[in-house]
Amino acid sequence: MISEIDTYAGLSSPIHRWDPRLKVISILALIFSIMLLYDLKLVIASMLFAIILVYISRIPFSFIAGRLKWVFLFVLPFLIILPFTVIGEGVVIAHFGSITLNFRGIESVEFAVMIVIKALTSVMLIFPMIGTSRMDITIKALEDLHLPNKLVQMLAFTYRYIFVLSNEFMLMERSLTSRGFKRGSNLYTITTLSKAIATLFVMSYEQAERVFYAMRSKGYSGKVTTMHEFTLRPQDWLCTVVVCGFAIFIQVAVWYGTLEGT
Amino acid sequence: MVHISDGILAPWLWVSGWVITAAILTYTLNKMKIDDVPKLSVITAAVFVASLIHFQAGPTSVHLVLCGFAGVTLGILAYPCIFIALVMQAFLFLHGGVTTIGINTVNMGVPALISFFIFKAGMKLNIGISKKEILFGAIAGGIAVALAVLLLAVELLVTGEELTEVTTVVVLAHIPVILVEAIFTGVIVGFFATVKPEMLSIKKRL
Amino acid sequence: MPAITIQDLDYTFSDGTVALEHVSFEIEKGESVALIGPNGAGKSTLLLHLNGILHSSVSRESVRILNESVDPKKIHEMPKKIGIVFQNADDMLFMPLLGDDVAFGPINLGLDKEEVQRRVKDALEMVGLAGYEHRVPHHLSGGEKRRAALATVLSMEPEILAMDEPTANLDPKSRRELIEILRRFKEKGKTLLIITHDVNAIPELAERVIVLNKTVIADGPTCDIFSDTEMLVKIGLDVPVIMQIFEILQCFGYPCDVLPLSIEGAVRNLTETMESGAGHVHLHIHEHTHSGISSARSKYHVHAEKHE
Repeated sequence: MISEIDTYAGLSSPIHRWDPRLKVISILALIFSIMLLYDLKLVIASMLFAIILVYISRIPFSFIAGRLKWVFLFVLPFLIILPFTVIGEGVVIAHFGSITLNFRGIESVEFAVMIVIKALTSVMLIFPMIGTSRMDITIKALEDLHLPNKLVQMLAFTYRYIFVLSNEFMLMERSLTSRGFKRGSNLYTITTLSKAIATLFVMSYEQAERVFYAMRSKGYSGKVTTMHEFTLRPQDWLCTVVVCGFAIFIQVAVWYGTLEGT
Repeated sequence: MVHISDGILAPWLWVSGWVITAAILTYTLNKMKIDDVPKLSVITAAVFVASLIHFQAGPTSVHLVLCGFAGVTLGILAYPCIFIALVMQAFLFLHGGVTTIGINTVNMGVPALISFFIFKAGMKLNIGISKKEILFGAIAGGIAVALAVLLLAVELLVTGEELTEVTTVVVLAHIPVILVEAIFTGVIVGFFATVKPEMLSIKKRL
Repeated sequence: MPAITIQDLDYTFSDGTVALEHVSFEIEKGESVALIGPNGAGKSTLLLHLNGILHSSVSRESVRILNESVDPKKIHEMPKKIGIVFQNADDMLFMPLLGDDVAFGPINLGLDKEEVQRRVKDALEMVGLAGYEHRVPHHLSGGEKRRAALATVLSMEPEILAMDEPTANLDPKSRRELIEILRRFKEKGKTLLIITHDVNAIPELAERVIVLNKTVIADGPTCDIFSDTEMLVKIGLDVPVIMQIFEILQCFGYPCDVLPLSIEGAVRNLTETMESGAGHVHLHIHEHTHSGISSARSKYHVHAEKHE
């Protein structure tokens, strides 16, 4: 049901070897920087930069393409609907009864394309960011970056139990199907699935209770400490400078562009 | 989840989203006990898994949003749980939306908190029906999604006039979700009331 | 010195169901004991009392571990004394990597890094999972998970090990491996308490059996408990298959006073019988054979007519 983002964490590349703490911060900074852009040329340049990072990371593009389709489906309406308007000004292209469909102009197409590219670039960058280290190492990196302890622990546990529960739900659905249940567009489907999910929740709540007992039995008193230690090497800083440098570069370019414009 | 991906909303909107989320997170995390971590995490995981399930609603297929449900079961701690679920969704399952985690948490977390207060107030009413949980669960579940969609619509409209048509489509697409979600939350809350009442926020100190 | 002392323990669930009533027994250090009883007899509930996770508000002083009463406020000090392995391994494995799970207990005990690493290595070796530190728990097989769960407790090097259903739902090889691991633990002179429905494993693991059904029904050496078939069957339990086979053999005229419980016992018994019978065992059908067999089978709720 769910495949894991860190499937290709075992590969070897400069990005895999990059210290996960710096990697997370740098790429996050880059994503935020790109999302602030409203210049099509710079947005396209950023996407190319993201593609280069993905290429260096050696994560197969087929793996990434499979995931990009979700975001693409989400932003597709923008690409289709945004350039047209029924209330604003524009070039009339069709009449549907009393409704007139107008074309807003090439700027609106550019805007829509920019939205799509930004959304795709953001998701693409997550692969070198999270997909090049094992999840547990990334979580340790977050701990090391002094994120609130409760949040880090919730992330670790939630991650762990998503797999347990999705498997459990799959088994439950199988047992429904084996007794002749078919999903349809009706109240019966909704109430049946609701009850199945409710059972899943009750089971997971009870399991959480048992996990907590198990933790208490192993001396848990509120703080999870792990043994992993990170060391920084010059290469780590080099990667950081390149990625953060690009994030700053695009902002400077925007700033320079506005100076030119005035 | 009614989430919005990166690159659409105006930057001042998603930056404000982060500020509001940081504030509410700080407050709720302080209210949360470290002992609650395992239980909250497992429920968060369950909410996450349940939100991946498709329901057929007429011609479209809808995902559950579950923010009303989170509010009714977790009380104010629904906020950090929704935050974690969105972080998971953005980073691990790549549904898009990194810079928008803050504002998405506002869009779903604030309705979750409101639905919690509605449910709590509703359960105190004396209206003389036996299964109050189902009724107010459904109301809380439906209102939460409606509010989440409303917040999102306002944000889209504020971002730019050119998004008017897109907003209309988004709102229309969510009308079946509001219905499905109301039924779902009603059934599930009624189920908890009979099977495991301590799972409802009003029955415990959370 | 007593390892576990339980005196007049009562426990009632929040919904009013009585789980334990006047439970009392004592287990000496180095003893290995099997706790048996039907489903819902309170065995797992009793286990959770051993380190104070559950505690009765009425009988505070009723559980003593290594001669010290269990204080629910000091649960985090208990793992050094008693390690508890729960029934479901998924409840025990909650960290991203198996190595972290096994290190979890030792780190909580406040041990230094080298010692933690040594314990992780030793514990994994003990359960036959050496080198599994970097494996992801949710990818392990059922048998591996069970052993991994055991390792997370063994790494705390507890004096007493209590394990809930060690052999349930395992394939024969995994079951065998688990029994061997527990035997090695027992041979080190440590105290072992196992909850089990696997009566065939008991003779190998425990010299004493406590039968629980909300309260202690019987307590004694393994062979004595199993000789009281009537009591066991009455509360829904069973006796080892080997014992049932030898009872059938008796119907065919096999001379045997004490029924063997395990393969080892059976080999010994057969050898002795053959030695005293000049190298032969004589079996024959006599007038009571059929009535004997059907009474033996009906005793274990196996209805002869269905199988014939």
